[in-house]
Amino acid sequence: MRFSRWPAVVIIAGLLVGAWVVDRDHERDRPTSADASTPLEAQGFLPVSAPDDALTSTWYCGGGTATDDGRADTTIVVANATDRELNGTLTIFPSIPSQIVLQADPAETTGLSTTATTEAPTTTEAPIGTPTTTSTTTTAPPLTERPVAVDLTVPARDRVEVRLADEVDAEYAAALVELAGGAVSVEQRVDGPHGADVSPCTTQAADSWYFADGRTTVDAVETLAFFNPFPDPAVVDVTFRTEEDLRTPVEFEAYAVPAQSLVVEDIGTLVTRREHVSVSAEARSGRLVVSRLLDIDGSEGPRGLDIAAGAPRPATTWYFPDGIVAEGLGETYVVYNPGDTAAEVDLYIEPDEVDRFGAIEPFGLTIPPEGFQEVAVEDEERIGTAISAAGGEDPVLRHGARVVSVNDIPVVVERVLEGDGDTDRPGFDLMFGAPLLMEQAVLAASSTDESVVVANPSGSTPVRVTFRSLEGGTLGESPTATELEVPAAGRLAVDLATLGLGSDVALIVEADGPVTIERRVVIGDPADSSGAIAVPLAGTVSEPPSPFG
Amino acid sequence: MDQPAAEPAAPAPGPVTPAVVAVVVTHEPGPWFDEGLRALALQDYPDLTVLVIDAGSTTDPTERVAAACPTAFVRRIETNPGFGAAANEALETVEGASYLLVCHDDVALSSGAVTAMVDEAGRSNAGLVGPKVSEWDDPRQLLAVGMTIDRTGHPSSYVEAGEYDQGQHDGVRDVFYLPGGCQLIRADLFATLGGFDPAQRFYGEDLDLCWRARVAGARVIVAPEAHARHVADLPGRNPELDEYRLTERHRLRTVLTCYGLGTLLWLAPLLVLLSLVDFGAGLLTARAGRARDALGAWTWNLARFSQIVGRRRRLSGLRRASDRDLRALQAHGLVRVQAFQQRERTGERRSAVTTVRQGVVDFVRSGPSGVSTAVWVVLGVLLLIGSRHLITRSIPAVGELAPFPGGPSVLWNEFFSGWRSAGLGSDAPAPTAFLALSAWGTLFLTFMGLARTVFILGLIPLGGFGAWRLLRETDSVYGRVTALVVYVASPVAYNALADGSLRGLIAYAAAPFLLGGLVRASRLEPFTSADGGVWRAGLALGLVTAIGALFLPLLVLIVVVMAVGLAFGTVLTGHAGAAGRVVTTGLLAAAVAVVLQIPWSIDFFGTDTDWTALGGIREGAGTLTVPELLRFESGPVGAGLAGFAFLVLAVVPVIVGREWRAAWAVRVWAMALVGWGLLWAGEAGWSPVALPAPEVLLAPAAAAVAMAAGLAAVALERDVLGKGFSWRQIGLVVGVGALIVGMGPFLAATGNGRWYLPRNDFTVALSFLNAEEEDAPFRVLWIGDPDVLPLSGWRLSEGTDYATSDNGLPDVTELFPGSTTGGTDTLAEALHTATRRETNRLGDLLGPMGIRYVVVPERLAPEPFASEEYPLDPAVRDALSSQLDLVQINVNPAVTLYENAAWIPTRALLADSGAGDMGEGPVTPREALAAATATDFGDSTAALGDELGPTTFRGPVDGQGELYLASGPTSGWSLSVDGEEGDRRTVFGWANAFDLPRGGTATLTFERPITRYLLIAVQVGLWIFVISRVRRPIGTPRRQEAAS
Repeated sequence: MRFSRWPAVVIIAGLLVGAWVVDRDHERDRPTSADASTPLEAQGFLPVSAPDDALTSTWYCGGGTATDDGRADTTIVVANATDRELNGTLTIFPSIPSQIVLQADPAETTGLSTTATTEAPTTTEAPIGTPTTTSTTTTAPPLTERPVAVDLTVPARDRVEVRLADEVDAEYAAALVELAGGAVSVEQRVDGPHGADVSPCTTQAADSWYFADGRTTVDAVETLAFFNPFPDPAVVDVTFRTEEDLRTPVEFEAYAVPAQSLVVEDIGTLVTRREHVSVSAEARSGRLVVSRLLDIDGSEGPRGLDIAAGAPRPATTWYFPDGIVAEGLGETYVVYNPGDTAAEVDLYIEPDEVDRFGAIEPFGLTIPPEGFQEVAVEDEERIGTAISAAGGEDPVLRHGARVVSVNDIPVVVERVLEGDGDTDRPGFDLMFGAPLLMEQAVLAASSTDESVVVANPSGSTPVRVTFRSLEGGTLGESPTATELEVPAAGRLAVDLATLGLGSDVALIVEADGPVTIERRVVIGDPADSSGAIAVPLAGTVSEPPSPFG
Repeated sequence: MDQPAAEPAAPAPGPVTPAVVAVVVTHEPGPWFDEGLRALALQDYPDLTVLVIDAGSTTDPTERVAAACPTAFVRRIETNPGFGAAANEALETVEGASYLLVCHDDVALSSGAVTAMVDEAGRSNAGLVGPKVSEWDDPRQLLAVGMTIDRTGHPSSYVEAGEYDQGQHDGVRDVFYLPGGCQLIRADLFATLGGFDPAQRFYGEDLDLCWRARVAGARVIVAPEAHARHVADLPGRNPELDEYRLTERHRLRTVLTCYGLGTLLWLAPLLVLLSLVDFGAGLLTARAGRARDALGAWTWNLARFSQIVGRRRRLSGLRRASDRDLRALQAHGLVRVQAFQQRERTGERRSAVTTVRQGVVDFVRSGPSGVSTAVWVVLGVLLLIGSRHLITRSIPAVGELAPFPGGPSVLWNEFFSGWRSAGLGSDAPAPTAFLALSAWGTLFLTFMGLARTVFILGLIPLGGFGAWRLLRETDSVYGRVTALVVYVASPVAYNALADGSLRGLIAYAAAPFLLGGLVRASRLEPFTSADGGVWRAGLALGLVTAIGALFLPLLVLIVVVMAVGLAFGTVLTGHAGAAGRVVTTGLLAAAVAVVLQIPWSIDFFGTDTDWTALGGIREGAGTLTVPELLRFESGPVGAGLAGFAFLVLAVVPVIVGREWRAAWAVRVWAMALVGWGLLWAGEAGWSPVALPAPEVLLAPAAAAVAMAAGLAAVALERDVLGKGFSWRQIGLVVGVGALIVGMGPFLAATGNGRWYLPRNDFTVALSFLNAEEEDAPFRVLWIGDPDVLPLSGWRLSEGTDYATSDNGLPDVTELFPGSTTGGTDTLAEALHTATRRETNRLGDLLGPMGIRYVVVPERLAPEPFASEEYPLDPAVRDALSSQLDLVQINVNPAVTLYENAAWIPTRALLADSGAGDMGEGPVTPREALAAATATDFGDSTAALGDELGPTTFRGPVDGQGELYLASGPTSGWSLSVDGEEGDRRTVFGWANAFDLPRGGTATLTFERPITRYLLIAVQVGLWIFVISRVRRPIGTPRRQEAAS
């Protein structure tokens, strides 16, 4: 049987050429980031409570002090949103001595410069005038600073508090909370002579931590707590961006955090007298939790105490549900770009009363690589114009805020609130925004002076929100806390006192659409306001909608 | 001496001459006997006496002797002791003779032959003298003018097969030995040597006698003036004699007897190696008898070792010539090939034309100018050069090139144990490959390293051999060698090696054989000579597939893909019927291959078949582009545009070929396209199913391209050369140029000396894992890209597999898929739990499974020996690094290693009883994990550390608590303490716990179910059945010939 080769030749050649052409335009890089295969809640953007049926929950609390007269007396607050008792362990890690021992070199005696050295923790001081050396240690902490484990039982739908100073006596202490189940929220509250603060502990250790703001002015003491609960040592490089320079002190190059230890460093000893300090702590090896404790004594302005774990990763969108421009209050947004590419960022101030204040044009910011920008809202002309246009006596601009990186370079954003004592936001507060949206969240800590703000980023769909309390094993409900509507692109701010759920209780917030939730409490003596993004439950988080539709 | 058959004639007067007695040994003589005797009677030698020794003939030949040679004497022996022993009767019955002329009964001497030989013996002072021997029916056609041997004792003739006598051998010459048939030997020498070796009943006794004579200092010569005709049809006369078996035995016996000790010391390993090659060839060609005989020669001789020692002792007293002296008379090199030719010419039965050996015969005889030989030699040398560092050092254990176990017995025991240790262990049959590898290791006398090297590197020439056979029916030497060259020079095998892909190499070796089977199943011109129908073709191809599937189970699917591709091409050329035969054959082959893997296949193709467990299966997009696929450039071997040269060559027959050359080129191109297309879909991320390593799918495409290239040579040879000038002449230039250019990447790669394999592996870096076994039994959990894992596992996430090895580094046994039963899903759930960040105590979850280490390799070899990275799924990496009880150990940047701080031994004594008791009902992995984490293993201690076998352990117990066994739950496990049984129960849904009835010595064993043996028997039966069905049609024509 004869056959004609040419149809076959055409078919074969056509297939080859077609495949070649199609293949040329086909992208198929293999995924190299964890995001492709890691659930969103596990990507480290913010603390997320493990699902109800999780085998275990682990929370890391960087902590403050654990002595009776500490400047940030720490209490761990654990709320159990499940209907069963959860057992576990709270392991307290007393701090080991600083890894950095300052010493003056001969040049310092002339007042020309300052140097320092790192040595083993057992060395408390090096002789003046010895040559500068750098050494690190990866040894385990001394026995006296070994972790202390405390059995922890959290009743169903209730919360417990553990004051660290009741268990250990340490200058600083961190806590590792492990529970045999999910749907748990753990927060840390610090009380001190200059104020108080409460913030969620974190659910992940990471190899990088960022802080957009901080200060080492004469009235401020900023410490960084390096908490390494893992069996391997961590080695970290810490970089400081100040208003003057970018510096990586030699003491913070390859800074070693021994395994299963907490080391706290006062960064003011190395980064002295700076009104702005952004921090990048990036691990060369290992993982850890880095948290910041900022204590402002009020000698130069508002006083306050703030504690927060850093942001483990930058993001392209940050939501701040609550905001206010009013007399006696200062609200500043600090945008820090830890990357090596300039970020183009828009800051949106979104008033509740658009009809009254008008739409405010976003602030366009260019954040240089490893740089930062601050926007003091009340000082901005367009804000002043909006307030002037609103008219009325002493108008208050209540708003939400949103920071969006328009060129997709991720940044870290914090909001600074400074209020006079006679305002409803007294003291000093620093708060990271929410890089993700959520539908269910737990607020473990509480206060009698508490309000919750729910922001709905959707421009078209209203969201209904229900608040329930966790107290005494029951899930408290109230008609005044049920099915509350959050308008599209709007906010809902409620006072705990008005919800009818009781005062000073843990809350579960449930929404029928993606929202952001911020809790604001005024606590401590002297009174100090504290804001925090609520802790979402796993499975209910989602990415922000594209700013470009 | 016995009575003469008739009255002897009076001796003729003349000068005194040495007395000669012709000793004719006969047994059931044929018609030629009389003529041979008459020839003796007609000899002009004056003092010749004829003695006929009848060795147990049923009919008394005396009358025939009397009629043909009235002066001859006849001596009858009751039984047939063999030629040598019968001839040795002369030692007792003949006296006074100077020479003995030992003859077969099918030899006829020319009239003056005896005189000529005796004269020459005296003139040359020779101990043995032989005539020029020719065919009985055609005296012009020479059979032998003396013989020689190579160093291994293989005989070689001085004459070519079918050579005509034109006086070219008419000079007296020293030879190494005289072939049986007619030998004149000095009687005293014969007596001194003790005659023939009686143990060598048939075949080889002539060499043995002559060699010993040589050692004793006697000359062995041929007097061509003497001429003899010889029937030489012992195989025909005594078909029950296994010529190959006897020849091998006797050759080895003679070699071991006659060589000096110094020579034997270095020669013995070579002899062993050659026997192993024969054994391997026998296995590969499904000729168990030949394989058995190759080794049987050794066992036969070793059983008679004392005889050999005695013979050596006697010979040493006679030794006058050294091995060095005799070396000059021996042939250079190995003359086995010539020996094959000789056998072929002398009528050896060709019982299996599709054997490797016959292929070698064909190979030597195939080219009028020795093109095949030259090409094979050159390619062999290039392969040796390219593999020199792998041969002289070792093949690093990277990827799937896992080390072999310490000895064949390990594999043997695992095969028969009925227990698989893969994953968390399960009651499942082992792959048949264990048995095959055990046999392979035995072949190499338990030198498992050598066995591994030969196994891995041997796959390349094996694939080449398959390619060389592809175009056998075309009768074109150039076509065959072109296919061979293109396939061997294709980068597929070398990239598979460089990537540590044993499965790729297996596919490379198997693809040409599979393609050949499918091509022949089409029965399209010129492949029309295949015996039997589709059924037999399917069985034959299924047998080949099954052998490959021992090591690459996916081959059962590959053969179907190839069949579909070839059928597609066949339809394109307008032969739908043939396409149907091809597809049917492919499907049948796949089915046969699956059936031959019973019982393993029954277990694997169960209700929850996990294809990823086959190993090396990849999901998601890859990085290979269409040009890289077409160039087979899946690894470091390749050279840009030059890589397209073979494709250009493969296009030539499509363009310039006529008739079946063009048609077949289109068909194999279509098949190649299917292979490429499938792989491309996988690389682009479009494939709905996971696909194997690139080389596994590239190998069939490469085989198709090689066949097309061979067809190019055939087309140029038949359709272009000698046909006058036409546009087709351009094809010749293009084809030759493409062949030369296409060789470039291959030649360049040979310079590397190791085919770009890393120079080192993780053996040293992770050697401490093996040392840890002394403390307590444990498992190692391996997580990583399936391309870089050294063992087969299960899918964890896209691009990430997990697997376990026992007590340290894995070996080749862990390359084979484990059962999906057992606690494997619980292990996976533990890892998923960590990946979902639902635990930071993964060690707690893995600890009860005995997992002490978690190893994450991200390169094929440690830094700096490998640079290409196979990064772990970042989510898994983050999960592992976030665990509070996994301690990272810094070993090398290429591997991340964690030690589990919460591990317990796989056999442990627990302080408390009742741990993890969840009843016998089904338990979800989640529940199992929760129960395990709730169990306090704090006081557990390692137990039963004395490992008596893969499933038998022993050690002391004190009777307190219970024994925990972190292996799949089955009632097959039993524990006895000093004879008293302990009750077993399932814990956690996937492990075992035993009550300790008392203190004492406890023995834990796994009882093999009887069904295990029955299934093995069934499997053996299936293999025998298939082999017999495949071979039977070959024998049919032979029987027909015999009948005719």
